[in-house]
This record gives sequence, C-alpha cells and structure tokens, in this order.
Amino acid sequence: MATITRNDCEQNALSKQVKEFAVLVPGYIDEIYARAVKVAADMAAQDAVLVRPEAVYVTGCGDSYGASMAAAPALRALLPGCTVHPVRASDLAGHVAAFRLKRGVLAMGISVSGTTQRVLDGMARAKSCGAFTIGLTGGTDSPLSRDCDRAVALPQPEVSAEPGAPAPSVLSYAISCLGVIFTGVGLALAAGTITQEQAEGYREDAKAYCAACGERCQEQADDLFVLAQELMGCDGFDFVGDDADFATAYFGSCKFAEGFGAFTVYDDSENWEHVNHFIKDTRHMATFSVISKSSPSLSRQLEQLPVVAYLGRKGVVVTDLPAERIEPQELHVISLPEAPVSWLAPAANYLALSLLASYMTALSGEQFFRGFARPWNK
Amino acid sequence: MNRLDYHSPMVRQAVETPTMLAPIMEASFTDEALRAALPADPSSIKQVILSGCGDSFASGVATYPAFEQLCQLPAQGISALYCGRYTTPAEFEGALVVLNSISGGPSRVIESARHAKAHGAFTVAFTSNPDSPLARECDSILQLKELPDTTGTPKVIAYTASCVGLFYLAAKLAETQKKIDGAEYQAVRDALYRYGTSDFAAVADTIDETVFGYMETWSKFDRYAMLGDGGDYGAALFAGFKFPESVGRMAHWDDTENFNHVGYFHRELDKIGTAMAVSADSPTLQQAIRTARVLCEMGRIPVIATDAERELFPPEAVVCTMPRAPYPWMAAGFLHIPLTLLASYPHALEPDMLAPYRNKQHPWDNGDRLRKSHIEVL
Repeated sequence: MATITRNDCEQNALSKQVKEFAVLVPGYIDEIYARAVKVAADMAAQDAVLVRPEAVYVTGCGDSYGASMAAAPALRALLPGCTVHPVRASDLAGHVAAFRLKRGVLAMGISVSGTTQRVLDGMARAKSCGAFTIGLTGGTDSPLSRDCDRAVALPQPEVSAEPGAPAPSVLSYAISCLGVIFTGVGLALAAGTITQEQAEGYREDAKAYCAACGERCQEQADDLFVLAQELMGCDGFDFVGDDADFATAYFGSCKFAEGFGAFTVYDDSENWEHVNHFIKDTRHMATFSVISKSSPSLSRQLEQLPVVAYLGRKGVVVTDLPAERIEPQELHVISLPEAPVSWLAPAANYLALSLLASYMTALSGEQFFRGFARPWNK
Repeated sequence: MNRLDYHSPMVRQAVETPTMLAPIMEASFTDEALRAALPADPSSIKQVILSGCGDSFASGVATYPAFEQLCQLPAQGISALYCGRYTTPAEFEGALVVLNSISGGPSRVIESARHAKAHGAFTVAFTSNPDSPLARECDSILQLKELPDTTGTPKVIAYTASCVGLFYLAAKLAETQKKIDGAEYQAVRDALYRYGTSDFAAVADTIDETVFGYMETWSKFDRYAMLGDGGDYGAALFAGFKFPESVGRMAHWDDTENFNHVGYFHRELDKIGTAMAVSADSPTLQQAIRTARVLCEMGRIPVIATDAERELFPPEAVVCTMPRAPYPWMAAGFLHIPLTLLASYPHALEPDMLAPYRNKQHPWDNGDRLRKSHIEVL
C-alpha cells in the first residue's frame, strides 16, 4: 500500500484553508472592522442606548456556537458592566426566559449562510421580546440579515474545494469570531469607552496575530504530521479548555467529528477530573488541553496535565506558554504565538487542531462529513 | 434473565427513587430549612447562579428554568470553575449563588463561594455535610439529609435529591418575593413530592422493564451520545457523566439542534448508543422530535426519556414514558432516571467490567486532588 505523505494530506480543502490563513485573514479583518464599526456608529446615531447594552446574547449553531463562546471574553472586556451570554440557538429560540430579552439587551446571531433556521428562530424571538438584534452573516440579503435590526456583512472566503464537496470550515470560523469581536470593538468605540486609536490598534493586533498563528502552524506542519500519524492509534478524543480556551477545544472537537467522524468529548479542566478522567481505555485515548497563558484558570489547567500523563493517555497541549512551563515532559506541546491582547487568542489558536483533523482525515481515508453519503445524507 | 438479579446499587438508586427520595424530601426541604437558606431580605435577590462540579453542575443546568419561571429572575447553571474564575461582577450583583456539593469539600466550590462573596453575592451551601469547608464558607446552608450511603457507586439519588431541592428552593424564593402566593407555593411543594414518589412509583417498573429489555442491543455499544435542550440538557449531561463513571466509556452530550451540526457526523454508528431527554413542555419539543426521526432514519435508534405522549416519537424509538409533569420546568429534574439505567445495567451485566470509578485503583486513584487543588480568588 502506498505511503500517504504530508503533501497528500495537504490537498484537501481543510489543509488549504489553514495554509491560506496567514495571507487571507488579515485582509478580511480590514473589511470586518470597517463594517462592524459602521454598524455600531449607525446604531449610536439611531439611539445612543443601543451601544451600551446591559446584556448581550450571542448565538449560533455548530462552529458558530463555538464562535459565540470564543468572542465572549472580548465582549466582556470591551463592554464593562454588561453581562455576556454565549447561548445555544435552541436556547435563544425557546428556553431563555422572555423577560431576559427585553429592550436594552443586544442579541447577535451568527450564520455564515444566513439561513440556519434555529438561529433565525432565536433572533426572531429575541427581537419580538424587545432585544435589538444584529445578524452576522455572509450575505447582505440573506434571511438573517433581512430579519435583524442590523447586519454585519461578513466576507465570504472562497475555499478551494472540489465542487460539491464541502469541507469543514476554518476561515468562516475565523471570520465569525472576528465579526463578533469587532462588533464589540465598534460598540465600545461608539459608546466612547475606547478611542479610535485603540480600536485601530486592536485591528492591527488582530491582523498581526492571525498572520503569526498562520505562519507558525505552517512551520509546525512536519511535527503535526508526525503527531497525526501517532494519533491514528487512538479511538477516542477528549478536548479540555476553560472559557475562551473551551471554545477552541470545542471547535477542535467539531473538526475531528466533521473531518474523520471521530467520537469526541469536551469539558472544562475541573469537570474533566470529575467525569472524563474515568474513561478506562487510556491507551487509545488522546487528550487535548488548550491553555492560554492569560487564562484566569491557568493554575487549574496546569494541575490537570500531570493527571493526563499519569493515566497513560496521549496528551497534547496547545498553548502560548513557554514549553518549559508544561509538565510533565512526555506531553506533546504545540506552541502558539502569544496574543497581543488576551481576548484575541481564540480568534486564531485553533489552527493546529484543524490541521491535525485534516491530516487524520486523509490518513484514515475518510471523507469530510462522511461524504454526505447515506445515512449521513438526511 | 430476571432483571431483578441485575439490580446493582446504581440501578436501585434509579428504580427505588420513590422510597429513597421521600425521606430526603421530608427531612431536608421543610419550609423552615428553605427559609433559613435564603437571605433575611429575599427581595434583595435579583438573579440566581446555581453551580457545582460534575453532577452538581448538571443539577444547576436542569433546574435553572424553575428559578426563571417561578421567580421571574435571570438564572443560570454554571460549572464551579466558571463561577470561581470567570464570573463577572455584573453577574454577582444581587445574586443568590447556590453552591452544590454533597461532600462540601472540593476546592473549586470553596473558591466559587469566596469569589461570589467577594463580589457581594449571597451564598448558599447545598450539601449533606454541614461541617464541611463549603458550609463554613457560605452565608447559609441547605442540608441534604437522609441520603442513603452509596459509597463507591456513581451517584444517582443524590443528584435527583439535588434537583428536587433546588426546585423547592426556587418555589420558596418565589413565595418570599411574592411572585407566587402561599397556596401556589404549597401546590408546588405537593406536586414535587407526589411526582417524585407516587407518580414515579406508578411507572418505575415499566421503565425498568423497557430499559432492561433493550439491554441486549444497548450493551453492544461502546460509546454514547446524550441529547437534551434547555433544562433537559442538564438531564442529558448527568446521564452522560454516568457512562465514564460507571462503565469507563466515553459519552458525548449536546443539544438536539447542535447535534445535527456536529455529532450527526460521527462514524461507526453501530458502536454509538444515543439517548434523549425531552420534556413535554419544552419550547423546542418539535425540534427534539425531528431529531429523533433523523436518528431513526440513520439507524441510530434513540432511547427517549419523556413525559410527552409516546405517539409523538417514531415507533421504532425506545421510549420511557414518565408521568406528565405538572409544571413545565419539573420533568427536567427527573428525566435522567431512565437514562441513568442505560449506564447502570451494562455494568451489572458484564462481569468483567471494571468497577465504578475503576475502583479508584491506579491510575484512577485521584485521592484528594480535588480537595487540594489550588484555590485562587481573582
């Protein structure tokens, strides 16, 4: 049987998105920034109260739900005094109490296609309850952009894929995360809590950080390919992270499931030791820990790592900490650039997990989304 | 096979709920005990946080809707790690923070209590140990009394009692805040007691038979997916937690919408057991029914715990019908019971299965790490 090379693995659309990330995403950021800032300025012109919400709900499905969690720390930092709630689309569509979605509350819905029904349902409900709604969507005339009070039009990346063969998204996820983050920047700017210079500084920071993450991932490709080969012996994949790091862990787990159909679980670093710690087949279990240097729960996350090694699992740590801070040494460390602003980290710290998913899809001979073949064609 | 021969201590905690729960409710949730757990001026409470680790986290997720619906207050069920390290001052303003831990010992709940108190919240220790570190840390105690000794077995009845206790507390807070009157408060109390005892007793045997009858199929699975929306997500979470604990196998949890975006793409469907918790009054009932249909079409026949009409679900689904809950929020606190049996019987049926929690033998001997985890108050 012919050996599958790294080059073979990099022919799919998931690898290509990671490869093009450093070049494409900084360009998207200029567009996103301009549109988000304009939407916020228009809101302020309509009613100054709109840019000082008392609570923000952000929703989406799948990756877009991940983006809502990833962007939450940025919104908390940029909108002081405002509570920020990343929520599942089904929750916004029915379970979040109506009285919470009153006037003075902002709801943001993410759907790149602008047609995800549950997101439309959630946003319609939020609007009917009195909340001001912003849709973040790829099309200016999509149902989501039409139904919301305002829309931030997101760039639509052209992913080089074979026709009719959709690939797990990376670029759209980046754009969604950055769309929410820069909507937060726009609101803060319009509310006067940050200056124009600060806002533009964040924009340039994001461009530099995304480029650096994309380039670093390319430098690590050989190492990641070897790691992917080692991980092929695993049958279960466990993703651990806290708050924004949880978003990255969640997104990584999505790519593994979409990519090669892996069975994945996820949790925070404390709950992990109450639950998934007890999985018995440790030799076929890989645990991915996402740890940001600036994480408020860094001490807890570092406590978890020796336990992973002690269990005899394959442990992988995705971090911007210096490698020497990661103990014990048998853990595989994927080093990331440090984000210039802590809340920018989740906008690009998932690339290595995405590339791993791509490599493992090729190595396993699986098709993305099981090729949408029966029974995955519903 | 006689199912009664397989009534392990874990199975018994589920099927004997009525006899185990009655003395707990009578001893623990008296009107006096509930009033003493609340602040002297209950009108000061503007929002509610329910938190804990593992099972106790799930109980907050299952019961927060009761606080929202009865008290008309914003409520959230969050993990102790999030409560202690990430919750913002705005979320603690006028907050009642209920920290649930049967032992009252893990560092994370103690840390959460300190963090919440530092930001002015009123903290309640919901624990069976009134002398525990958690109890000493909090402003008040709601003691779980008459819990049967389930040492070495994954907790089921303690979780059920936790959900019921939080429901009682919600009702008491609603009454003290004059959101419901004394008659309605008593009606809720009566309904809770009846539902957990005589109502459930009427169906316990049928549910046990249904689940046991499915074990020949279910025991072929080696990984599990648990689905639920809103409060039902708490039931799905808890049921999911029982699989790593009891049989040492992986379980994935998600809501019924997100499942269609991610877990739907898992491969090796013949290895995955899928179950759902579905409240009859769920605002997303129709979505849950659609997901059940999709699962059946895929050949992933789900086990469904519900208090809705059997006829709503596909005929091939295995449905465990609970009594119709008298309040929309109530079923979520009980739907875990049938699902728990799914995690309990494989352990009882397979003699070579390692004991619950892997007997806490090497390398699962987590000792007192959870109590010694470093506490930080940020």
